[in-house]
Amino acid sequence: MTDGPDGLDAHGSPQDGALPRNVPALLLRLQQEGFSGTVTVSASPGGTIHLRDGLIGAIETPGTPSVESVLLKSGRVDDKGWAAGLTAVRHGGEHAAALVGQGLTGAAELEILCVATVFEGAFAMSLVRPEGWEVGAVAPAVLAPRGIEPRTVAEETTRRLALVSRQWGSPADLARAKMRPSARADRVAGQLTSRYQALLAVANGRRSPRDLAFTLGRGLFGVMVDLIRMNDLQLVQWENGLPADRPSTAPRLLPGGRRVTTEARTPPGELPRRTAVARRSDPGHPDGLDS
Amino acid sequence: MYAGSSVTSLASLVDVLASLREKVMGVSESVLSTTDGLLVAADTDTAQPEAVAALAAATLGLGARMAEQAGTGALRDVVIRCGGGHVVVLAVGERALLSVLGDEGLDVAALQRETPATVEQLTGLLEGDVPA
Repeated sequence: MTDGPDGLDAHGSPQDGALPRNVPALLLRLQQEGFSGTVTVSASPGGTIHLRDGLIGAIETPGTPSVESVLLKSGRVDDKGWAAGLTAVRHGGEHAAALVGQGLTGAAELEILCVATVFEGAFAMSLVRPEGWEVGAVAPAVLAPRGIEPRTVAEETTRRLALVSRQWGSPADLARAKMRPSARADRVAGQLTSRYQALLAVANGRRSPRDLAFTLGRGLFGVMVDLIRMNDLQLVQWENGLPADRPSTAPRLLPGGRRVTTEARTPPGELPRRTAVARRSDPGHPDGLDS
Repeated sequence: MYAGSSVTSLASLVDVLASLREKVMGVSESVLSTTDGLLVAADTDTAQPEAVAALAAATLGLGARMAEQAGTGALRDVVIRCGGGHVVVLAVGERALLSVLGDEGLDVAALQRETPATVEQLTGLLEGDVPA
């Protein structure tokens, strides 16, 4: 078992002999070793990354629905079929192969779902700073038939974080926001796509994007992107006002009455120093699964 | 809003329940009830608080008897795991019960980390029910 500290470097590459600096660095090292097993990340939400021969086969996290959740919620597979798959696992088989073998889902369909869930899980886990991790033995899971390279997952997670940051602001803030349909949504309900209608039907002011994802059996990132677009179309109203999407540009005063300005105050040759008031809200933590 | 000993303490109780929903991923609703199944306070959406309150008493009672029969020590909580969600029932002091409803992705580990503080807060608020 290996316990790792919280990584702070977003560009960690494995270093021989040293503890990996973050989860992506750990995954790269495990890929080089051809490791099969699990990496359990402690955070809120944490999660379990399943590796086979160094490649990511599945990510399970409370932050986004698992393959099981999506299959059961959509009605694609019923409880009885799922349980039959679990029986196959006990007899040494693969859960995914059992589900396909029983005709409950197509092989390609399941593979697409498994791959999508890996990327969704990585995105959900990247929204918080990991507290630590533990490398453990192989555990049963519905694995993507072909594992995905950790670097590919990290790059896609970076792209997703950047996209939400660009179009909205802090992904972590959006993940916590609660919303309900606006008055305009009721007026134009008939013209909306079924995806938007489904989201509006369950957005009750108590559910975060993560809760909506579980309610509908969809991925977190897809729900967040839809909500950003729905916000632009004025279809949703946010509880407790609009979540902070960017820092205010209102004049700020430093102790002593000095104003924060864009004028360069740093003497030549010295590095600029961050001031406490210039901080923006949490933009997500690239040391999670980002590269 | 549901019956409680006073309006002030009811709002405080509901605040504690809502706070649990904010702190633990996957918690969707919760109900505080007496050990004899009467509703005290609820942070619910679609669940029927009175029905959950009544069933909580029966659930924890059955759990305690099963634990005693199995010789597994003092009961901590009853976790009901379903295809589409979780229900967790635990005692709040000697006279109240907390039922937590969550989705299938409920962060059970986080819930078990948070519930001692929640139970302590609720117990403190409920102490006012007993005349000094």
